[in-house]
Amino acid sequence: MTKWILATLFLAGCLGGQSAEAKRESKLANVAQNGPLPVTHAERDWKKAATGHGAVGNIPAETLTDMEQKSAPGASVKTEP
Amino acid sequence: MNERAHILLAVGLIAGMSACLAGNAVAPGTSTRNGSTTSEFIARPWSGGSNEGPLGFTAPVSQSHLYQELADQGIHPETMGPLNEIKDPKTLLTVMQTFSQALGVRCSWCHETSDWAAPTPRKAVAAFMWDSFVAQMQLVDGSPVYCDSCHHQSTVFLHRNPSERISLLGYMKDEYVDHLRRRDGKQHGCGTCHGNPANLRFLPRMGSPEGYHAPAANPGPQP
Repeated sequence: MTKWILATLFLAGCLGGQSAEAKRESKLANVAQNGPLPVTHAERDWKKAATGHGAVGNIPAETLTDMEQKSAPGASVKTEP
Repeated sequence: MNERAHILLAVGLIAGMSACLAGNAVAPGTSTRNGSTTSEFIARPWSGGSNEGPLGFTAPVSQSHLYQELADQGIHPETMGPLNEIKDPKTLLTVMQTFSQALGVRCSWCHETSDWAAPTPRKAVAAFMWDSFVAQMQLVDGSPVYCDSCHHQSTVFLHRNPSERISLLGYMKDEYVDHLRRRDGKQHGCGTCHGNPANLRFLPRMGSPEGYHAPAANPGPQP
């Protein structure tokens, strides 16, 4: 009985899944063909991207302070339409 | 003992060991250690690290309620280009409000209240996520991905501590590989975000800003 269980497990192990080599080749082909998202490896200056208010220019500090108050837990962050 | 007893004993041992490895459930919003031992030394406290807020849930990626709210106002985030190129102040503020709602935090989670325009590590991460995930990814059915698709009012929700690494791999494979697609139509996999060789910490890093002290999260209701 035990022999049969071991033999079945061994056979399943042999048949199950791809070989490590096949997996590696598949992964390399996938990455070579498609690659990461453009932005993921983009040489972008993220500090610059995080500085200022972008193309908007200036936003009054009072407006932002008001938003900060409304963004407190339990308050509504939504501004009036 | 006969063979049947051996099998029963083996099943009992496996069940007992599984119970030991199963871990403990935590209450919603509980702060837990969320990283490896190495991360204790190399995590960036000003960009998350030990100050990243209560750990959320690894909920399934979902249709975005906030995207629909923006679309109702004529705002389509995936078509707008980088965050810092939005020209209309009302549009920018409306988008910012959705960040606060999606993560369950106040504006000061990312911004310095003494200088709203100052660069912070969390602003850099938000700009990166906008450019990469919102603009370049979609759900498998073609519907848009937005912040609340994954965050569900948590700042951090990937359970990275060693005992949960295997289930985290399964979660990321199910939700981020099987349920997401690239907008450019190219084949999607782990390398879409992590690259090759895999970079586990691919979010942008900024040097620790002078005098910057990242605030703790003020989470809203957890899912």
